[in-house]
Amino acid sequence: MENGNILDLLHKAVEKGENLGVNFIEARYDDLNLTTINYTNEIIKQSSSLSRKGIGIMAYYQGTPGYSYTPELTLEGVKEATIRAAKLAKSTDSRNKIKLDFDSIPTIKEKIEVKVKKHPKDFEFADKLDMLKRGVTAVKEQLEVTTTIGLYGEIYGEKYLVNSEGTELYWVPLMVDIRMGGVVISEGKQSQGFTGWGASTGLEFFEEKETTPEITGTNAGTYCKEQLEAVAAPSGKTKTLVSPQMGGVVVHESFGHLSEADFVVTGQSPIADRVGEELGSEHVTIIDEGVSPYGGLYLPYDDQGIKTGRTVLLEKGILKGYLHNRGTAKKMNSELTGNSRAINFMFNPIVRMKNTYFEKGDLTFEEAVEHVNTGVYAVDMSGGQVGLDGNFMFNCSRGYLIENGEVTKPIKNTALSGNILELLKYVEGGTKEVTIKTGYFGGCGKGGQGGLPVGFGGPDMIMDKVLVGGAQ
Amino acid sequence: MVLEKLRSEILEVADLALKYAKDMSIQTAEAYIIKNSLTEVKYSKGKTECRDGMLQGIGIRVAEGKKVGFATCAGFAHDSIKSTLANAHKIAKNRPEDPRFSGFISDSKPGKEGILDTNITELDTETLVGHLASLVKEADIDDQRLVGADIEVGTQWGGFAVATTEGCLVSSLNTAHYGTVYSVAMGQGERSTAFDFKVGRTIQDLSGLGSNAINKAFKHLGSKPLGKSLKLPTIWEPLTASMLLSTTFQVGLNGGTVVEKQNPLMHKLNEQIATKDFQLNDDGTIPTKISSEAIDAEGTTIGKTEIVKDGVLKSFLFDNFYGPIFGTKSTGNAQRNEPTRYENMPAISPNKLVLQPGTKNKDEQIAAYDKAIFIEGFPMGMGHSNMITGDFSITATNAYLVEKGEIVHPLKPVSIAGNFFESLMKIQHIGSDPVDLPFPLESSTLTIDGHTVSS
Repeated sequence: MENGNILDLLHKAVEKGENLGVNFIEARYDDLNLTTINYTNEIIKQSSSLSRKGIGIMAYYQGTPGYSYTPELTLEGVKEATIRAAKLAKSTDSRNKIKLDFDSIPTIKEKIEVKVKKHPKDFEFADKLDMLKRGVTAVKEQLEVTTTIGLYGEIYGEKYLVNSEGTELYWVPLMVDIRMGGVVISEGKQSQGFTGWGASTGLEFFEEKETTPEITGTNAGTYCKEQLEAVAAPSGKTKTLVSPQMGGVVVHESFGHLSEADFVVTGQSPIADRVGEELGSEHVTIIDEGVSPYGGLYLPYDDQGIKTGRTVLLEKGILKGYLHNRGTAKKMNSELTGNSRAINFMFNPIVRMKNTYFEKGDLTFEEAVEHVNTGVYAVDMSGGQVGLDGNFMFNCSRGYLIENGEVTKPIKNTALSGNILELLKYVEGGTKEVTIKTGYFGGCGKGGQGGLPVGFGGPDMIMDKVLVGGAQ
Repeated sequence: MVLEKLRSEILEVADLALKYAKDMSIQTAEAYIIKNSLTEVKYSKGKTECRDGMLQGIGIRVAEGKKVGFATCAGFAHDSIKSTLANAHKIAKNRPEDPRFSGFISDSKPGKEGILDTNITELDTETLVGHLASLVKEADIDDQRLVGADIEVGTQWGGFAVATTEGCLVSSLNTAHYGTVYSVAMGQGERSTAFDFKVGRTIQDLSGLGSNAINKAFKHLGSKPLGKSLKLPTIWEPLTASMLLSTTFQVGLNGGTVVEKQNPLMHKLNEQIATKDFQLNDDGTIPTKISSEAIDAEGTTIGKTEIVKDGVLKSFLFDNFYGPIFGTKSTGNAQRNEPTRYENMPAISPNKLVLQPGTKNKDEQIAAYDKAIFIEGFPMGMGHSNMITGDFSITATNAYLVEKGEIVHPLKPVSIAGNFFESLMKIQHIGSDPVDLPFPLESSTLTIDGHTVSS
């Protein structure tokens, strides 16, 4: 469908909604293309090409939302969806005690085209498969493995948004990702190494020094090899150096979700009504950002058409604010933060994170390791569980002992657990280098909308009193 | 009427996809078409959120010889169908041959369709909001211990069709109505959560769900630590028992992993795997169950498969890919994962595993023990178990100490460690109180010996 036709359909939806007596309409068009290749044991175990194209309509009636959607890109389909959205908003209004209406903002008309050198749509399936083959070769050069894993994922497309304020937005999401892994299962020994990440760029990302398939494969093989000689982790409360990816997951899962204002306005978050309180040590500053100088996910606008900015959640340990959609920002008299996001057109936007990370500290890596002196360097994780009260448990899949101020032996898989609101008080510093990870695989899950790309990271952070679970 | 119209539409789209395949010189293809109306209304501490829409999409598999490609699209636009066929074809050409691929279904006769309730298709938004309002009213109590309740009601209706170039063209319809309440209570710094729900193919009477969920949360306040690690009999309420056994059998019955030699039960066919009173069937034909369909996700007729008889494992479950490799036919257990289904390739999963009830209900089982642990709700960590060895260690947040045949007090979270497969041989009681649950397996209250329980 031509761009002009899409904008026309979206404007028709807004017009229809307003004629139905609702106060505000957001009409969104998503056209997302997802490709996945699973190359296990040098066979394409699975490969898929998904097209998610459709229109979502959010209607607001006196601060009560109603959402409907349609994959039918026709005037009839869009009008029908608008009628349903308006009806839902009006029907539930009498039951809605927390009205999240919002103030008008100036109209935005912006079209953002991102130029990349090697857009994945311009490359053949065989080119992408070839990268996985190169990565697998590198895994095998490190050790004899039982299983090799190569994953490739890409997402690209277009997003349009039109609303009752006359805003017209267009931008292009993009993400490419490669993961490599090796597994050894032999008599009495099991080991796994798995690594890699993605970026909001073209395939040139896999030509950069640290992210070529060869380097990712070599790393996966090396980590797998290390695990064969891994020792048991210590048990009990341990001073821990937490890597950017490990710390990033902890800050996203444990703290970030507590700061999402839909959870705050209802009073359910344990950090509700605590702005200005000291929740962490002076070494903790937590940021959520749409387009970050540290890389990660590229997200210029959210799904309510709000320009994403840099939101300071915690500054030197003091709670500064929350993550908002337009309604919660008005309700809590806060600045707009651009955190209203939906996984695709079939879902209403809800408050979600963007790139969430610990801000940098002032230590070198060596100084940080020396500071820990005796403890654990937790680098990567696989799986875990978090509670709404800040409790968390993550499986540390790659980590090392720190002995006498040096990183020494690899440790076996172990659980790291604690409560984030306690743990933040025991942060003793961070390094100068911030890294933000993002990717096609994994992603954030909330409200039935799993797999939303986000970024997370930080520097290497020193945290005391992390409960290390010992060998599993 | 609405449902039959929908059936005609999805069959037409399925047929159209095959016509386009022929036009594009694609020899072998399978089209999975789904159209489902979804409406959900949620309420959380005074805030409402609602969504509805028509989930509709197509998943297409194209075979180029023995090379299979898969692609999907949302909606039924003709251009999208053509580009999806082209994408699947492109992927197929690039994949290596899988000599084990034996083709798509060539012939199928739809089995028994479950109950279809036209009241669900006709249910208007106002009525659904009324269902929500009743539950909100139940949760609106003047008790400071209640932190809040998250409530959701909704409907789903629609169907799916499968067509293949080999001559299969079949469909299945369904309707569902549900309500859920998740409650949180606080008392003396202690937090307790509970959950209750109801789901069925007809309009459900949701009254009492809110009160039940809240009372369950209150009941667990005032918990005490267990104190030490003990090996004790554990009594699992039907919901919790169903979770335990669903995890066990979802993995253990997968014929695909048997073929791939990764299944922990692969050498146990015709061997004793459970106590002699353990009888288990997979039955996708029960008219009242929301999982019942006329066909599976590949178009195979759904029926009934005997799984465990007198504790002896009698069969694994298969789809149309792994069944022939194992030397048998598909058992009609190909499913596509939620939430979109059409975006996922078929995978083997139970239709509805039903455990034959025993003789003692929950209270009678509790009364039979001098000391035991009674477990309710959703334990944490079931999904992180080692399914190769079967070892599990879960955290039960809603557990109670049983002494002298009675529940004496709630327990602070306890970890329960054991082994899924060894547990089957240590079942002491199968209850007489099965509950309708939207899980792969429905169990009654179970008592199992030999689990390690610790604070």
